[in-house]
Amino acid sequence: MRNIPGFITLPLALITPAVIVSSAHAEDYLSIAQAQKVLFPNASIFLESAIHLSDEQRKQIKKIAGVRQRNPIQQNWRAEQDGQLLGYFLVDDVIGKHEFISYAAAISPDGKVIGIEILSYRETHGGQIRKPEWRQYFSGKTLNDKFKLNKDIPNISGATLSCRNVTDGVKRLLAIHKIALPQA
Amino acid sequence: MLKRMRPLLGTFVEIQLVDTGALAENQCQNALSGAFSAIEQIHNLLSFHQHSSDLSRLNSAQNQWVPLHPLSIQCLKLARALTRISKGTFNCTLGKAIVDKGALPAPDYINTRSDWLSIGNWDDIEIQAQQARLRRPVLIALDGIAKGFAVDIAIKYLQHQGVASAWINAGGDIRVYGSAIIPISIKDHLGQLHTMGGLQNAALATSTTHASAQYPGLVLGKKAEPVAAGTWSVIANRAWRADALTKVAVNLAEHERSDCLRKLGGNWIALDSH
Repeated sequence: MRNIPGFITLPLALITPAVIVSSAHAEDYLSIAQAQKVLFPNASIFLESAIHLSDEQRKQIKKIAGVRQRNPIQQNWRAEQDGQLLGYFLVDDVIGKHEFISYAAAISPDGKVIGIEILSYRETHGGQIRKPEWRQYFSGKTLNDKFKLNKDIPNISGATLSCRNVTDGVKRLLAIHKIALPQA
Repeated sequence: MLKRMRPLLGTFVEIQLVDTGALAENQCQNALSGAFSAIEQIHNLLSFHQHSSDLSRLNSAQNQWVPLHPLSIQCLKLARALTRISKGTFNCTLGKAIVDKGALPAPDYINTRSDWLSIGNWDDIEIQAQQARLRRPVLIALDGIAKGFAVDIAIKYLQHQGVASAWINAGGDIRVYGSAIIPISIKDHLGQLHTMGGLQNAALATSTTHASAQYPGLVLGKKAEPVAAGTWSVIANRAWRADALTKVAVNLAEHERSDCLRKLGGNWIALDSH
């Protein structure tokens, strides 16, 4: 570390406890319940159900969204306020070459994206996600973990990472909404 | 949880409220949602991709006055001024060159004429009150400044909501204000992390001249030529400035880089890999 104008040299204790040697970035943001509240602040109830997608439906999803639906089961929540449907809350994972992302999408009854929130983000480099010690380190990092976050995980400034995987995932969820969820 | 992330501006935007003063939990969540909405608004106004954006309306209405949102005017003024005072080392009129390189999609209206200039000058943009006009057939691209600008607008919103300290990281464009000191690492074009120390009340941006599918950004030289692979980080008081000055840093020779950037309000951060 050097002295650079604008930067403050941090006491080593603040920086070193992180096992940042893995050069991977991993964070948890919201639990499912928290994301529900953020995306549907007016909902009084979230009714959970699972859609079982047939092979035919999955083919249709691929056709509409241009992306393959791997999972035959899609968890979803109906967000309601006084018995009226506000929209659907869906949780999905995207696994890219370099990242593993869980996110939640809120979709209105007529099929528009109300909002997207990242639930957790794991950046991986090469084969590191397969190393057990790497996984172990991050599995201890929950939302309630007091020792975590920006004290030990640095913000990274680098080339802009594309969010294409997530936007492709959302297209898939919109297709699921279209073919497999009641519109009212 | 006072830290959230959304996919916006083609990347991931992360916001954390560090000191929320007297705000209640639901006010904090509203402040976070509002800050994301502010960024989304800038995206919708200044996107090169989106048909209906202010920027697309300006680019497609060559030589005609186009009324624009006050925030679009503000960003356009900053981009124009920096194009001028940086003597084109930052240039917001490179749209056509970037389309030709394939880093931006060709818009529909590109077929309406064949005399597009791949690169223009600052004075090709005319601004009058809340409207703007392009004097010559250039395409404006604000990719090099709008992400930082969006961060600044969102920070302003948070401050206005009474959040005492917070930070935003929009795909590497970072700004922090208030008491928070955030540890920073810079990832270079080789994937190497450089530990930098803590950032407080400042903005930092990094551009790498090494485009790939995962990192689709493209920085061009002064004459719209591709440049050698490198990592360019700049600190400034505002995120738009740090963002835009990384492109200036690319286009300056080593011996003049620090001095020139300082005159433009930025500090160049040399990494070991340079």
